[in-house]
Amino acid sequence: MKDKLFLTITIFILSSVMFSGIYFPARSSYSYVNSIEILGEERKLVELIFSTNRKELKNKIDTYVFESSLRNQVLKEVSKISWSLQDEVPTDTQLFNTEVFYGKNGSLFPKIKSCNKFKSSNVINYNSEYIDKFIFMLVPLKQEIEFSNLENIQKNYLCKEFQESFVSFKKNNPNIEIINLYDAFNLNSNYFEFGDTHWNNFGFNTALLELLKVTYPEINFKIISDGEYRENNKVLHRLGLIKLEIDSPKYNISPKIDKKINVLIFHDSFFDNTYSPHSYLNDYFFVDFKRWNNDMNLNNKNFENYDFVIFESSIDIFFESRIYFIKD
Amino acid sequence: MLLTSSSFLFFFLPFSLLINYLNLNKKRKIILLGSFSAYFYFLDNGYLILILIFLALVMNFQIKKSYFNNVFFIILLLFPLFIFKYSFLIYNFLNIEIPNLINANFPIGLSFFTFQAIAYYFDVKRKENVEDSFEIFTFLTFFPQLLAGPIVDISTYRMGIRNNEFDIQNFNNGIYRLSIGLIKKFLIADTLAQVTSIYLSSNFEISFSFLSSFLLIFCYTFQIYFDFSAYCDIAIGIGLLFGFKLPENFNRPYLALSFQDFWRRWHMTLSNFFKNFVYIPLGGNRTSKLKNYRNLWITFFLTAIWHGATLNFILWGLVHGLFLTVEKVLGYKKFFSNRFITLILISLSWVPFFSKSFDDTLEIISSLIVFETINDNFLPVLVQYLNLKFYGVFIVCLVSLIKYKNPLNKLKNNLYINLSLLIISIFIVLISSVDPFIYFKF
Repeated sequence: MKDKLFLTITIFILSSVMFSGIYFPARSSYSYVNSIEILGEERKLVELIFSTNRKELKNKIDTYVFESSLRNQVLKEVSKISWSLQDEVPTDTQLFNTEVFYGKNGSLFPKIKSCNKFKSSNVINYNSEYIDKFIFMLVPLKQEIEFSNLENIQKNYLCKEFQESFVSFKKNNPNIEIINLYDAFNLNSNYFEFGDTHWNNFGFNTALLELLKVTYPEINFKIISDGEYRENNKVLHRLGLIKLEIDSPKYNISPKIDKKINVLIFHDSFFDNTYSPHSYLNDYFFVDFKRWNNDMNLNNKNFENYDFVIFESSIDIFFESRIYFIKD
Repeated sequence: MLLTSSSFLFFFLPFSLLINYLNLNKKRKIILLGSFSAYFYFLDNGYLILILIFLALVMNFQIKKSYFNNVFFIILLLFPLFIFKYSFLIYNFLNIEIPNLINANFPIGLSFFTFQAIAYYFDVKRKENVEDSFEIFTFLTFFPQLLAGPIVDISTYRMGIRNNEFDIQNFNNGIYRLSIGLIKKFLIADTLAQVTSIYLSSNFEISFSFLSSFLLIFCYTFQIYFDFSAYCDIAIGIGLLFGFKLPENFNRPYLALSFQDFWRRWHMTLSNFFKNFVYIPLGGNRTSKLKNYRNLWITFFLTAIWHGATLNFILWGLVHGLFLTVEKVLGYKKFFSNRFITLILISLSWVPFFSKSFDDTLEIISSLIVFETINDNFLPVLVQYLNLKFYGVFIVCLVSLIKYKNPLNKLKNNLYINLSLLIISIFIVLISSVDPFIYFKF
């Protein structure tokens, strides 16, 4: 009797994750590691066992497990435990394999995939009739700017290749306007959100100020204080499963513009509405936004409609791949 | 389907366990396990299951009718392995495009079940009995050891098939081994894999220094052990749940006193296979010294080629052949009987095994004497992964080098402890991503 009970309990434990996914799916499931392909089909497991498409059954089961309330609860509890250790231990305490690492007190930094110097021989000599309209804005990594928030070992072996690549890129492309955010982010202040890899309101306004200096050279802009705002800290919430509520100073750029120019911004997540409010940007420009894609033709006739075309990118991804997407 | 995938652990395993304990007779158990295993293989490999069916049919035919002579029959069994694993050499040599069927597919575990088939054939020939036509198919496809061994002999398999009574001791041990295997894989091997995968997945030029080179070699040395031994624990554990006592494949190999000792402790079923089917038929050590060394080198050359037809694997095999020869020439008990030296040499021998090219092998090994880190562009990436979990795993790896009696051995017969271990291991599975086992690609 005891034997059979043991067998039953084991089978129950093993299948409980599945049942939790079938009967108690989580309202919003976390995706800190993998994205899951949901097929959107309504058939039951039994029907899929005899399906000729062998991938359907596996995907359905993976979806059940992924969305199970049991899995989500385990994730939340584990992340709470590891986060509670973060202040006590001088190292990254996260247990999940994510795309970020923690510095001092849990300040979040993006992981880089490689630390290679961009070879100047690879510099593309851009040839475009719109070359005067182009502005490149390469955003430094948080660890390059806020290295005081890194643990000692992280600081000692910080990758310096991106900044060197930037200098080389700027030097080899003298006919293109390239905004230097390494120089702009020079105050002893935070330019990035604590639990995020993106800029905070001050970082955003500092970058915008540099952009305004290029686009409206005749106007003298300055950053002024404008109350407080609640940091997004979205990356920490998405990857570390921690909801962190921090209020930071908010800024504004003065003066506003009456006669606005047209700009097109090719951007990544830094210019998403969350980190760079689009309604605020509309105070200075008539803006169109486009995401980076792997075919950026510099002779696109559409550029005629704009006064400036801005290429914004996180510096690591720019030198790893995006630079090769640009074709003239 | 990976033994650690959600679809296997939380659906396929409990479902097949439930069916298995319906007090089936031997014949039904063979058919049931064969069908389950075939479906298990089909889900990942699709029509490549035809290779398993081909091997089973050819073997059934040969065992019953003895139509071919042994050499031709072995060549026939090795034919799919040659096509999928080695034929690219011929296509490359002749400068012909490799057909898509070969280039885009590799039947997972092909080397293992081909060897299993060879072992089965000679076992059955020796014992001169085959119990059931479907037995061959089930033997080849049995899902716990189908993908990466351990290579099983026929008596182990038949004992498991006959064992259709629920045995609480086996079941208890099975849960223990399964849980330990999952913890080893997800907590230890996959944490170390984060470091090695920086190198393995990088498309950029990497330069090393002593520190990064040491950490990379350290991580791979322990990753391959914990990864493969975790797979074996899981396979043995699942085997026990179904009443099969699969053979052990590892016996704390990094405690070996010499290379000879290492090969008695590492991937034991493969070592035995090569010993029984290559080394001994060549004359083993009952020949002249020179012939003995030749036999050793041939065996290690074939072991290397079994892992893959690349210069790096051949180099790895030759390094092991060389050290074994040196040990024999000098008398290993006198000069090499040292755990620390053996571990260092074994660790270095993994470099050609995992590195992406011969140049990389030289770069990684030569960097061990470069103590300046200025030009090291691997370290800044690696440092990001040095977290609390990594340090914990690092310590576990070091502790695994201490000779001690496993304290868990006393607890492993306790039902409640094993159930708790199972729950903990499931939690670890749920918070982890799945990296495929290293040995699946062979």
